[in-house]
Amino acid sequence: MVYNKDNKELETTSTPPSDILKIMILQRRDDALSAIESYYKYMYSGATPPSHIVRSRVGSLFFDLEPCLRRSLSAGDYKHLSDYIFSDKAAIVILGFRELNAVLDQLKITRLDNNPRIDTTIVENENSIKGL
Amino acid sequence: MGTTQKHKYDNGLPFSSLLDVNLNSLRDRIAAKKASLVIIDGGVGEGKTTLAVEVAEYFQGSALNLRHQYSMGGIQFQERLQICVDTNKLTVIYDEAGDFSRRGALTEFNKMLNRIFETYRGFKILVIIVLPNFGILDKQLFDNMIPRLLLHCYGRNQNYGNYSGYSLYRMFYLREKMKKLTVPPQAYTSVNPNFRGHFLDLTSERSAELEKVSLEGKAKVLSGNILQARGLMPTLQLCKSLHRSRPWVTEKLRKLGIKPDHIYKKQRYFDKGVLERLRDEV
Repeated sequence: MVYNKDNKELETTSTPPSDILKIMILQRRDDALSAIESYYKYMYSGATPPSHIVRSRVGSLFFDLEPCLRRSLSAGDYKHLSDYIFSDKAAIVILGFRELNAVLDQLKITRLDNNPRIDTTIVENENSIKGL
Repeated sequence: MGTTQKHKYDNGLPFSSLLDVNLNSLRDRIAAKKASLVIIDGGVGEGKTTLAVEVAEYFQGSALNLRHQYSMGGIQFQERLQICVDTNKLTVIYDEAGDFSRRGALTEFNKMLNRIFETYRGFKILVIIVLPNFGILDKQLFDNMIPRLLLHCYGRNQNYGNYSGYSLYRMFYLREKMKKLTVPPQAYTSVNPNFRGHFLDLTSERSAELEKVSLEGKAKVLSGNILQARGLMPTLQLCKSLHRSRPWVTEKLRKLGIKPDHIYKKQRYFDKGVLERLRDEV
């Protein structure tokens, strides 16, 4: 019998769907950033930048986050944001992308500085933060 | 022209500023009836006892009564601790003073410490332990999270001494490093301290007083050890060996008409043959 290393049926642990979705969102964000980068590259070189890639990629990111945005934003803010994201102008879409970035930070998907800042020169601060 | 020795820094304390903040942070813990221990370790002549007295006096807010709050050896420590509880003193110092030179002393010491912290934690006293290397302390003390601050003394010169302060969290790392290293004190160079500082000497009068108490303690330990080396046993040891109370042993000694071979500092020492005679009475 040949051992099939791709057979995952016997695995007892699996990745929760929320984690997979988080990774996909990060991937989409990275794609959107690449599109924005190339948009600016064109713009700074003096050429007319094509906006379709930026608009479509930021739009996809928006769709991934849509249910979450509906819950967390007020109806007015949500409409305002979706107007930005689906604008014809790439500059306005980029503004919308920056709003999405803030949402991703709130959801702690892109937050890096989530370690508590403590003054370790006071030993009791360190002891208590380490659960001692 | 001679220079005058400085005894306080500009902050009005005999040690650098961060140490006072750290000691103040222990007050809340002690007020909440949580056992707290400050360990001061370091080589011979690094100023451990000096720093211990300075720390205790700062914590207490008044001069330390060296006769009641400074102890050398386990038995004295328990007595002094009781005195501090009775007189509402806030700190007590335990200076090992060669107490660990006896075989089995460490086990006894750790057992005693564990028992003391179980009993005395409710009495809101800060215990300061002075010893050459904190690695000898029992794991259980650390598991119970009793030591809160370690002050490691090093590189003392004529003008000042140095210390590094470590949290309990870092003490765990230090202990682990010490186990692995051939030269255990090198662990202090591998783990960064939470803070560092300097401390100054006590005033000459205070130093002389401390030295007197310290030498008395050491002399007592030495003489006691000499007598025990001669094969004599103090009453307390008879009690421990027979698993009987002191009044029981005293009563039997009186009944059998056994006189002590030697009396030193009110402590009665008996020949080892007495133990066998008392065993027959058990």
